[in-house]
Amino acid sequence: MPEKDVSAAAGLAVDGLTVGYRTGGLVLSEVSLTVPAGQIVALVGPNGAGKTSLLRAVSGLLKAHQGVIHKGRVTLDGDAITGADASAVVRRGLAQVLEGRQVFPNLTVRENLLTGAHTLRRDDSRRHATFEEILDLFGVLRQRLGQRAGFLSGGEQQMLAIGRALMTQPRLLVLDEPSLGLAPRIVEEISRVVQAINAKGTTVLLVEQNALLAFRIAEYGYVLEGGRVMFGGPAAELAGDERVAHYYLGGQDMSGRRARRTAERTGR
Amino acid sequence: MDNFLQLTFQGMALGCVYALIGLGFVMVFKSSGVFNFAHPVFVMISAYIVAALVPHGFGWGVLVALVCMAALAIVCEKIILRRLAGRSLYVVIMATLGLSVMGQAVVAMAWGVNPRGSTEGPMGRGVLRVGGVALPWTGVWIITVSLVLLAVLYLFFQRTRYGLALRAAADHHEAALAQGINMRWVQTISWGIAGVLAVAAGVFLGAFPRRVSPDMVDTALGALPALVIGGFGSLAGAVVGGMSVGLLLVLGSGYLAEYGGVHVVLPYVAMLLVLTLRPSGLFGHHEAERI
Repeated sequence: MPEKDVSAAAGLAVDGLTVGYRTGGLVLSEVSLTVPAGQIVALVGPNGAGKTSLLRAVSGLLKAHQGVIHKGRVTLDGDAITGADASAVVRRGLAQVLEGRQVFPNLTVRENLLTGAHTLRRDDSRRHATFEEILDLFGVLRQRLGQRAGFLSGGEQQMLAIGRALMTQPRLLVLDEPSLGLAPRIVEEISRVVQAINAKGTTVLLVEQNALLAFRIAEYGYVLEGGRVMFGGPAAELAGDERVAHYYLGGQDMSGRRARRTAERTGR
Repeated sequence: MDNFLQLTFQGMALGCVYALIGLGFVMVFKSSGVFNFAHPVFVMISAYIVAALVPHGFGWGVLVALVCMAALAIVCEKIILRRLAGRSLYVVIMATLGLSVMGQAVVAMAWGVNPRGSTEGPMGRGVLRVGGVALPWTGVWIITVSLVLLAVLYLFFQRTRYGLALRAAADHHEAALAQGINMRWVQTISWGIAGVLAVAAGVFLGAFPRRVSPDMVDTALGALPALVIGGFGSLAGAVVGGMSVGLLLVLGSGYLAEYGGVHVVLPYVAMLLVLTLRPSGLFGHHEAERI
């Protein structure tokens, strides 16, 4: 039986999490953060900061990548889920949308969505209602139900990946870089959808490299770097924070340099 | 013409057996990423069990073999291969090769190394005459039962939630985990199905050349070119590849008889051709490395 921590508030709590991979080295040290029920919380940080590893540790996917939780605990609504199997975590109400729109390419859109219902009890009416709700949210998927997911556009695949996770009827939805590699118009639509999902009562943990986007829709945010939480605070404050600007502009600076290099090469 | 039809029929019957064996390999590979070199031994053991029990009733033999093989396959998966999860490919391959050697040794201890009876049972030795063509009843049985098994397998994959889970797991392992699909179940079910397919293949292989012997392991390994031709990791490919190999072998032995045993190499020639022209096989996608 999971231990019940009555002091923990509803939502996700990560406490002192230290994570490494068998291939060597720690990727997270003493990471603590909370995602209160009903909120959108953003986790931002540069590439290699440990964002995806943190999500894997929370959602039970770490084992599949030869990762190990050395220390710390994770609770969802007060129940310990530290090191639990992915299927157990999904049953507890946490669904993760993997980075990079990982749909099942050879299954149809309908089948992709139905995989999400795999863990549900055989409650057909409830499953049907959820299915319809998701199609209302992502109208474009309704016209593509019989099509193979591998043939969808990037934006459509991202929506399918989110819809598929919603089919498990999660209380907490975890999104790993949903804006990655998508056109600005699609990114706008996805952030609207995330807000709509949250408005219906689902808690959201949004992991992004795009800090400005994340802090615009989140209530609270954390900055992760080098496997540690550097700081956290209300998203509105972080959006104007110099330190965040430093990270964010750091990214800009990099691309600026790249642009200059490209210009030099093509100028020759 | 009659000769051609006769040979084609025999080729299809043998092709069905190869398809069943190939499907056993593919089921396990797609769910757990293991190429199970012990599968041909599962086929042989099934044939021995059925042949031993035929005097008490063919049906009993098949039933006992089904229970034993499903159990053996699941035990192998749970006790041995699951512990090796995440280890290098060579470790896993050596483990299945070891299982194969062990299985052959156990059979030799229990039944000796000489051929033991056959698994014909009610399939009998008679022939069904259609025009000028004589179709052996064993062939009719093999083709009919194989088609029924394929249809059942197809419906399982297309219509049931476990079938969908298996397809999802084969399509994208990590996404399937993230969707809450229980991989232990997926793997147990696939190994169990592979065990059942091994029984069907064992019964047919023991009835068609009419001999249950240790050579069956080599015959069953003949499904490998079928897998390469069809495209490794594709269920449809296993069926088409198996059919091609069966037809090549039987038509080759019929028409190229004066060249001695040259038909035996035909599947391998076809395999090399496919590898050269279309390395992923007729139905294959590019080979995805599992995490």
